[in-house]
Amino acid sequence: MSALTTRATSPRDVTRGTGSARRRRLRWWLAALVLLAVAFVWVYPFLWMASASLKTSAEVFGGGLGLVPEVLQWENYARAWDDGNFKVYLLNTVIVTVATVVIVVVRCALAGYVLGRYRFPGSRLVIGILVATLFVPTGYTIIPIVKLSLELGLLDKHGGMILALAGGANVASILIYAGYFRGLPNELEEAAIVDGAGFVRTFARIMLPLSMPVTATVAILTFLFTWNAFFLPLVFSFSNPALRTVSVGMQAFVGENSTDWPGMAAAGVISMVPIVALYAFMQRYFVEGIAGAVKS
Amino acid sequence: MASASLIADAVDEPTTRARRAAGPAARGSRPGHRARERRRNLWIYAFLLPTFVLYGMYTLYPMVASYWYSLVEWNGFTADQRFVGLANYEKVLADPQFWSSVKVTMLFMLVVAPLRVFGAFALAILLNSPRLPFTGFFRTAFFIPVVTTTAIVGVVMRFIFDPASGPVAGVLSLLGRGPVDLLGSTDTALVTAGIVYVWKFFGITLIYWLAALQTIPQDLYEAARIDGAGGFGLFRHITLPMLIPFLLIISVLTIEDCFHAFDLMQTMTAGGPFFSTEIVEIYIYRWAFAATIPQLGFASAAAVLFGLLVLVLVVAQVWATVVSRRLRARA
Amino acid sequence: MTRINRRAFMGGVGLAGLAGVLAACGESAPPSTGGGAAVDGGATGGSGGTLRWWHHFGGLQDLHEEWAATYGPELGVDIEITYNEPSKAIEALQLANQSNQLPDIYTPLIGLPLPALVEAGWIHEITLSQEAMSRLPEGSFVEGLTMLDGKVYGLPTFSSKQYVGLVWYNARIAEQVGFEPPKSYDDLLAALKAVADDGTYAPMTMALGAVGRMREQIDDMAQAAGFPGYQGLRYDTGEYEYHHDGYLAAIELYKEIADRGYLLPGTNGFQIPDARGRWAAGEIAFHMDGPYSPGAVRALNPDMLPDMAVAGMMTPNGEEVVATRGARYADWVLGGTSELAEQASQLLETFLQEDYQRALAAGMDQPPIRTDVVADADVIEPYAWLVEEFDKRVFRAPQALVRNVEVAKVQAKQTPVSPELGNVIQGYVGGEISDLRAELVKLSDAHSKALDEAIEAAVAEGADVSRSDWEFPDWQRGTDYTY
Repeated sequence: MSALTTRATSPRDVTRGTGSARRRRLRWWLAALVLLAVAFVWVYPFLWMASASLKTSAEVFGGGLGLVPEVLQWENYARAWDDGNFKVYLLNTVIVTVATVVIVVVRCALAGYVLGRYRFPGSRLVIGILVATLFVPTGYTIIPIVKLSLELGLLDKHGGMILALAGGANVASILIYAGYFRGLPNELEEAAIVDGAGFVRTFARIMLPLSMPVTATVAILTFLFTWNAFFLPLVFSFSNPALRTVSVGMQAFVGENSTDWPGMAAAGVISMVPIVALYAFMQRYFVEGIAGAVKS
Repeated sequence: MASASLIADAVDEPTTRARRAAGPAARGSRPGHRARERRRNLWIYAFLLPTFVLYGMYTLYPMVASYWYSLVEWNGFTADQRFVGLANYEKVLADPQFWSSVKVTMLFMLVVAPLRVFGAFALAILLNSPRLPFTGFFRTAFFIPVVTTTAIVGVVMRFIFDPASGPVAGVLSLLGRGPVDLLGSTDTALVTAGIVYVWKFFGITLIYWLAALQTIPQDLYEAARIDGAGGFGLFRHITLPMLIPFLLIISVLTIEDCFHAFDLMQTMTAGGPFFSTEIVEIYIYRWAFAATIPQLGFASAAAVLFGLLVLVLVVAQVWATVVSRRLRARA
Repeated sequence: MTRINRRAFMGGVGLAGLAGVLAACGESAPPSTGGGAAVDGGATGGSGGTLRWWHHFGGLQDLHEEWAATYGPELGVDIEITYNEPSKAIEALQLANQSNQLPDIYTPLIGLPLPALVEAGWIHEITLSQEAMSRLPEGSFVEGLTMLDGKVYGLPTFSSKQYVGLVWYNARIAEQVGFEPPKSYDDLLAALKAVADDGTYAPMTMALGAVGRMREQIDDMAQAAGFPGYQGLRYDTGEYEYHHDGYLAAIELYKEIADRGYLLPGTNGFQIPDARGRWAAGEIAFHMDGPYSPGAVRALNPDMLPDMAVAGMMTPNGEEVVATRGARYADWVLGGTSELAEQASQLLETFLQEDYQRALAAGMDQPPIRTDVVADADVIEPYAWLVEEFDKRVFRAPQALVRNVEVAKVQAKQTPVSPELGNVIQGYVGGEISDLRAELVKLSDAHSKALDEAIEAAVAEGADVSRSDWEFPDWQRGTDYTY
């Protein structure tokens, strides 16, 4: 954020004549107008979906570009929420996503911290193995994951789904943390040791709070990935439809009510609203996070 | 699938820094210090434990297992796995449909990657200007598709492009064009899917560029302005050269990203019509899951080969990063 | 006021992007879509466990919900029904099997023959009372298809006498536009032309994007057009001949319909529900669908039902349809890992009751195996007419598997051919394939090769089979084959 605002306040027009400045300002407003039109087209599919979710089937099939429904059909939402079971799917998704984000953040922060700040027997090997994961082709891994979860008795449980989602390599997140922790000044740590803080306390009280920007980035990326994940939740919810997440549930709804476009659109809106709201709320941290993760 | 620079950092620097961090412990040779170091190392391993366990279970083991599958003939229905050596690889390489899917994947990448990289670049330049109004709004608007569930986007897009009642058909008929089945005809399906893909993931590339633009020191602009450079001059002589190193990284990242369009493609076209949008991932999926008698060994072999293809791009990326570092050093 | 360090930033952008990329592909190449589309319905019964029941009959969802609600408590189990869309059912079953989650009762859509399923532990013996079995028509249980070594492994509940390449039309539109139900290819084209000329309605739609469904329709229409075999394989010679005139004629009909612009825009990519849903809205004259159309259409738009009419299967010059079909395979099986095998058997046995069969008929999906109940069941007239037609026009086909059960070992090893007939149809109709005959010759060769390889592999493992197992020189069109 800081860098952006810095740009915005930098004085540029002082040395220019006022006439040309006005002309230039007009140019920017024109650009903004064009961009507005583009942005409208950009978000049009969502507007269309939102409007379809409030129309009757006939209206949707009738087509056209109009976005305003004749009469607002709120029962489309009721259908998606109750009959389509989206109330359950949404709750599942929240549980799975939040748990996954917590696990990923904690374990990546832990690993990133020690890999970034310490040299210990085997540290090179650990980094080497993690990095190698990035390069080696992975093949088709869903089946072994399923078999493993089955043997652990975790297949048709939220826990199994969460572990599998959180268990991906996440090498990137670990390395982001490592890079960030490495950049923190040593004095912090030394001061903590002088104060008598142990290894864990130094990490938990001093280092972790300092890594908020990275944590935000990792958390948001993990959140996005988990919320949208499809294949793993699908496989893990086969024997127990009560475990379905929204993206799996959406597919189910499509298969089941293939001509209920308004219901589908309503289901789509239901599953989109939380993540869009989250993004709107977090977007500042998001841009900052990517940048902040690397500022030194 | 990696940014080489980050790996270089992770491999080179931690050791030097770590030595500093571990300085006091390393210097001391007294027993007390050694005990403390041992205890510290225990903590270090404890911190790594969750990652080790999960990594071994959900990354390492499945990876090794998938290699094994690629060497057997197995339909997934029965426990009967017959070792066939490299026969699966030979069959994949001999299958014209595999090559056609590779072609589609590459073609797709060639269409979408430049659109994403250069389109996002142009937009980022605009959005980065302090004079442009509503930048916050624009940034949100262009990023929203990124955060929406791909499976849902695929479904919505089938409505949007529905030639009988979708809004695109509406626009076309306003322009006096008859119904065009953009997703349903082989000539246009890939391009249409590509456009949707670009739309969906444009925001990510945009964020990269916006962040990259932030790294350009303001004083460079001020100095240039004092020297009398105009808007275009600033862009030409400062912004552009400063961004070129990023172009390499961002485009390589985007290219890699473009190889993973499965969710969107599967929900929108499922590879059709007539294989015209069958990217490698759909080809693999088709043989592993959708066939009446799945060929898991064959599919795994195709997946490993596809991984190798991506690997080639990682090598390209490493190369790109080396070049970009050189350029940066010159700048 | 923090300035970002450019060098560090390069890595940073890389990392963040990388995280995204990894997130996208990390856990499995291809992270995927598709799979068990479903609703879960349930019936609460006693606490004897949960019996999981999967099926793919869109039109029978309500019936099965009711059935579960009635018999769940009686059997002392909770019944949980999952409906899988046909195109997703195979992968759902495959994943369920790999994860030991096979349902207690399911429809075995997978490509393995029954003996192979038994051997692989996919299915469990079904215990049926003699009395229940005797309710079915003579010869309903066939060794290799539904039985193995005298034990029942699969339950047929639908009639073997049916074909799916049917022309359905909207009677209201027929009246308005004024066309007669077509019988020949030319009739159909003329009727379509009449609708197109009229201009009020779209002439036709079909599930051209669902390649499996296209294949089934053309297989049936080719047989009606004179192909002496089924699914490309000639009964008499045991040779693949997809390039037979019957196939060419049937596919050319679809091509003609498409080229003259009679198809609703978008038809090229339609899956089954897309096409059926559009037609069920009542503004399209014709639709290619199976006998199960009324049940499925009712679920989509009940108002359409009174307007539904069927012209039957087209033949090139309006000849009488002669169809040949093998004995009925297993419609239902009992999951090999089921812990509720006894209750599942009991539930399956109820499917042979007259009330279930009548309810099945009323569901207007595929015709029930006891076709005699259709007459007094609550069905629309075109459906009753169709079932009568099927009775008259479908004859029993010779089946290699029935004559020699070892053939199962070959079928289990047969690799699917790709592109398959459905792809060829879609490609030719869409214009990507120009030389249809050449493509069909290639298809015949590919199938022939796959069969030969499978035979070779099976023989290597000791199976007693040869290509001659597929030859039935004494077969005659229009007669029930006996071995």
